[in-house]
Amino acid sequence: MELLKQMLKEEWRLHTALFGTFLFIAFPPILAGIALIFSLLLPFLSQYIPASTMALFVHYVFVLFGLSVGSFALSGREALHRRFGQASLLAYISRSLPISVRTIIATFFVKDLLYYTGLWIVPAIAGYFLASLVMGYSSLMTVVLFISIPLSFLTGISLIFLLSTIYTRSHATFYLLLTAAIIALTVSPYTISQLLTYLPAYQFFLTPTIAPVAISLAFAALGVITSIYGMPLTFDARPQEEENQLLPLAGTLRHQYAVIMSKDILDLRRSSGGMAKIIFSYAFPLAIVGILLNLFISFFPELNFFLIFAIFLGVIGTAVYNWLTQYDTTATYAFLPIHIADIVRRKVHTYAILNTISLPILVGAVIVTGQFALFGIGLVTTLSLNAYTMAVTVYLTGLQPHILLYNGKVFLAYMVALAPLLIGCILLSVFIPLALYATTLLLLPAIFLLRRAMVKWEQRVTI
Amino acid sequence: MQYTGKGNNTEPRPALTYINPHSHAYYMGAAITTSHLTKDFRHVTAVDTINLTIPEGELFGLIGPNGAGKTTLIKLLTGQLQPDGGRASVAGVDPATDPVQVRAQVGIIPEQETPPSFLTAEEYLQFVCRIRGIPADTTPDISKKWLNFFDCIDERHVLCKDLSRGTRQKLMVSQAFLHQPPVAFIDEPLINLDPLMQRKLKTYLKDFVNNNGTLVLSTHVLEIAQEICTTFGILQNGQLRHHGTLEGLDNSLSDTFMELIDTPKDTGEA
Repeated sequence: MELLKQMLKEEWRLHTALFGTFLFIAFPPILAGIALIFSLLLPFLSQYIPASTMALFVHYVFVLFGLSVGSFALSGREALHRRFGQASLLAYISRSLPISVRTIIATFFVKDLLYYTGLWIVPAIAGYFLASLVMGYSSLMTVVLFISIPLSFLTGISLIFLLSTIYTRSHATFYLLLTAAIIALTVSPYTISQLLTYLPAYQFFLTPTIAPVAISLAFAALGVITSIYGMPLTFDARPQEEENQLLPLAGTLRHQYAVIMSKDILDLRRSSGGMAKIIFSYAFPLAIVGILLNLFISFFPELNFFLIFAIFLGVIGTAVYNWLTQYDTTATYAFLPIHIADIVRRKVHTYAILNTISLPILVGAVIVTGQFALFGIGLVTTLSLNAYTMAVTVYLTGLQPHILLYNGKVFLAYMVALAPLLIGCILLSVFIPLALYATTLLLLPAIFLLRRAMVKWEQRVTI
Repeated sequence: MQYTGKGNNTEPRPALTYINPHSHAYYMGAAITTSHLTKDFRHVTAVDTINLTIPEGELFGLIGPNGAGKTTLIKLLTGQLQPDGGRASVAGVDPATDPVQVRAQVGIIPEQETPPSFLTAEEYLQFVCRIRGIPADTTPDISKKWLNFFDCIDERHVLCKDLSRGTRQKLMVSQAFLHQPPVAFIDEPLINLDPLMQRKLKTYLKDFVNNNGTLVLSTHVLEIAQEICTTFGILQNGQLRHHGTLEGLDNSLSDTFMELIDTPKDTGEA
């Protein structure tokens, strides 16, 4: 019980340190406000989208929320080290204190559930409740949501605990299950949209009976028990050895600083998750975009699946730059004769190389949608947005996007630079798709911002 | 331990050719000079109008209590910080106006930094070689030479995150000297090294100085400073309270140090 109390305190302090106390305390009321506005608009929105689809969307938002909370719990240690130096969490104390890993995992799970339900889920439902008082919605619905939404969150967090335990025990089993799931989805007579509705929490929302609750709880139990008994209890103390790959990788690029690019690649490859991190950075958000488009396209047939996918693909590329700076600090170079601009320049080059992954993804998307005639527009849009997004990120955050994007002012500037553009591109894709060729013009501000970024960070960061 | 002199150590060690007459490092007179060098941090003057001259071929011990300003002074001299007043010259370069050039000329063992987690020991040394502009074809030989020097060749393929503290320190020492600099700034270089390696490194440092290299050694361990340094500077509250040789002291270094840091700074000897 003491451990749970301390973990809850620690989570609070971690978030207030990350986001700033004011911003973090303000977040629940903001969330309640957003839920309130969304709930007040329900009668209007339901003229275009069935209420059941909107409810399904909301439930999956909380499943994703659970997934992200769980994945940070399991793999956030390296990120924390970059953000807070030698910071550690109570979750990692089993080596120095007489507390078993099993106790820690179980307590951690309960802590996440209580903390996020209290801070984020309750405010969201409170927003709906307030709207229900104004609009006269059924109060029973508030009670139903108060059960179904936490169940969605529970499903997400349990799923990630289950999958990560399987991955930790056996990579082969994990990939086998993944392949089996993809095959099952492909041969299934149901569409993805239909399969999504089988989420037990959503089923409970539609028909409040005990069965969906029991299924959700059983799945959660499976996730927790598998984690508690499946996670390795000892730490592998063998040092990790690797063949020398720095010079061979840099060898093809004769430049003196090519080793910075080699180091970036090796950092990504050898840190936890390996190169799969990059693939996941694309796959996960694109899967969400795909699912959302699938859900909404029947209500908005004007939406062009391929072009919107291309737009998001361009913007998502920024995550790669984030990864490239995740394992590097300026301190590494502080005692070496190198300009900060040279480091940033190499990161941009590595980014350009890694982002070639956009091309096969886009080819896959055009094959799936069959919109071959639009491939040229899609490609130009993706590449232009890719360059622009990266330039904005570099200009605003330099070598520390993983820290500075948490800064309120920087994040606001980032959103101002990207959100209107994103909306504009989506509108163009609907009304004048050919006009998306104009995104090539973004290369001009991209080049300008990159040049300014080199000067800015050279002056601001003394190394 | 007494220094046994150059040539008594039969173990192979990296070549010592410090001054390249065609480089910026070729200069007449002092290796390091500062004039009224000052650095303020909000409410604290970390380095307070320091005037210092360190000739070539000296092993200068920079000593002082925690927070005395030793690390700040080294950062100013290596272009990692910009001064708020005064100026400096290191190996003929002004670190404030040309920080990259000064870091090209000198070697630095920083106070806290460790090698990057996901490079192997060998890769890290090669990484530093390339950043320092050493040709790619000679890089493997240089890295091997230093790994051999510190008896850690068997760990060359181990990722730095999994190396012991001692081995990581060996890499940090190696990276500071692999380009054969004329001047080096070394912060607690012996920390985490076993007695055997400490002895080997001390011998190397003395050889370095005997070959006309200049060293600035920052340390808390007075015994080490007394054993290997030729001159000293005692810092307190950002001020240089004493600068001179061991022979010039009336008492032992330890007694002088204790006396100085117990004395209010406005009456101290500068």
